[in-house]
Amino acid sequence: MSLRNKLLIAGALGGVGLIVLLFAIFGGGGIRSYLDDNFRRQSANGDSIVYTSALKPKAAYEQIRSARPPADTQFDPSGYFMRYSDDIVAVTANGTGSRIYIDDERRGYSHWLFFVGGVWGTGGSGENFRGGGPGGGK
Amino acid sequence: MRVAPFALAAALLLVAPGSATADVIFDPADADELAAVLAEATETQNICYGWHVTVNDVGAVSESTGSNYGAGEAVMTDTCQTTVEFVADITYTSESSESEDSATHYIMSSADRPTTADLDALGIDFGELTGDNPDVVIAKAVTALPLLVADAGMAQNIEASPETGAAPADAQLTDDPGSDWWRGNGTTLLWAGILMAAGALFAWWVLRTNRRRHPVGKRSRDKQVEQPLPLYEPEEPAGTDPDLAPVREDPPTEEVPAQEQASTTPDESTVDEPAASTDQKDKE
Repeated sequence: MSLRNKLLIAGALGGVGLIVLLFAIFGGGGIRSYLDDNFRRQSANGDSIVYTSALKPKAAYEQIRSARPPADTQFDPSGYFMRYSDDIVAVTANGTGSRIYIDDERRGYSHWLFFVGGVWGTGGSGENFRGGGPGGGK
Repeated sequence: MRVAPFALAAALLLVAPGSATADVIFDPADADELAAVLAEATETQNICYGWHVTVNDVGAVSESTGSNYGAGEAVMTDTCQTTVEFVADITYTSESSESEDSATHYIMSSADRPTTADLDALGIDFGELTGDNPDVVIAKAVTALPLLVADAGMAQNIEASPETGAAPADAQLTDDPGSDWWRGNGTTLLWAGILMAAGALFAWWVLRTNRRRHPVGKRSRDKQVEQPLPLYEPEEPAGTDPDLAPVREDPPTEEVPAQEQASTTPDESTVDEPAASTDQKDKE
């Protein structure tokens, strides 16, 4: 292989890496822009926005989670709750489809306190599930 | 005569405590709360839910059981038309053992669905079953069972709605979720870094090996040495101060024989020798 070809391969490797880097930096927005781009807005009140989707709640949750990984997820028989750095997203059933709520973290915590209270903060009913168990691990 | 044992068993069941007093995974209050969540779901969906976790802590086996009937109560398969249970086995090994702690989990359902794959798709980190907080993982899995049942079309969805009233004064977020950007792009950035580093490293290696094969500096030096030295140096150009010019002896006036020229090496000291011998001849 000639010197020129080898240098071309090296340049291609670096170029692909650069493209991936630029894609990471400029490629996607946060959770709010993702929901805006992919779901139908139903209503809004300040930073609190409600979207609807024809997807079942589990499918909508999995789509959002894989596109914008949350810091933590909580489940309840009535919905999926995702924690982001500044927002809280809830996915609940809405007929055969789903309803997706996004609030800033303070309002979201207040809205969904019954389901996530005590887990992501103080107050609420879930205060107990904060770790424990047998603790026999290595 | 056969009625007596059943009556005794029924009496024991009645006096047995309703809450999990010796639960290896959950505190009693946690287990009761989890059972209450399942009871609400059962009321709406008419499906029985439960959990059964076996912990083998270096040979000492203990269990955590609960269902919509209460903490410590197993799912009653004879009274429920459909049952869905989360089952896990956790094995802790001793510090001296070479074996790692391990855990398995699955869904045991009287119907075809939901499956363990459905549960795994939720993204719960089941590796944490052998971590510090297995109760958190198990609680997540158990509370997700009614969601999976509804998704499978076995029962109706339970719809949550946000609280509109004011939150209690003590309700404050205390967790640290970290940066969404780093969480979402960390892997991509890692790949970008690896690719760019690989490209740079490969380019450096190519140039380095290429320079070894064609050493440009050595070739030019050899060329300089191979050039025959002039036998006659021209005079200093006009305008040069003769006082500052280096003192040089006159070049030999005699013609150097052709054989002597050929045997002369390009070394400068050997070139000077004929001039010195000429001087000696002059003195003689």
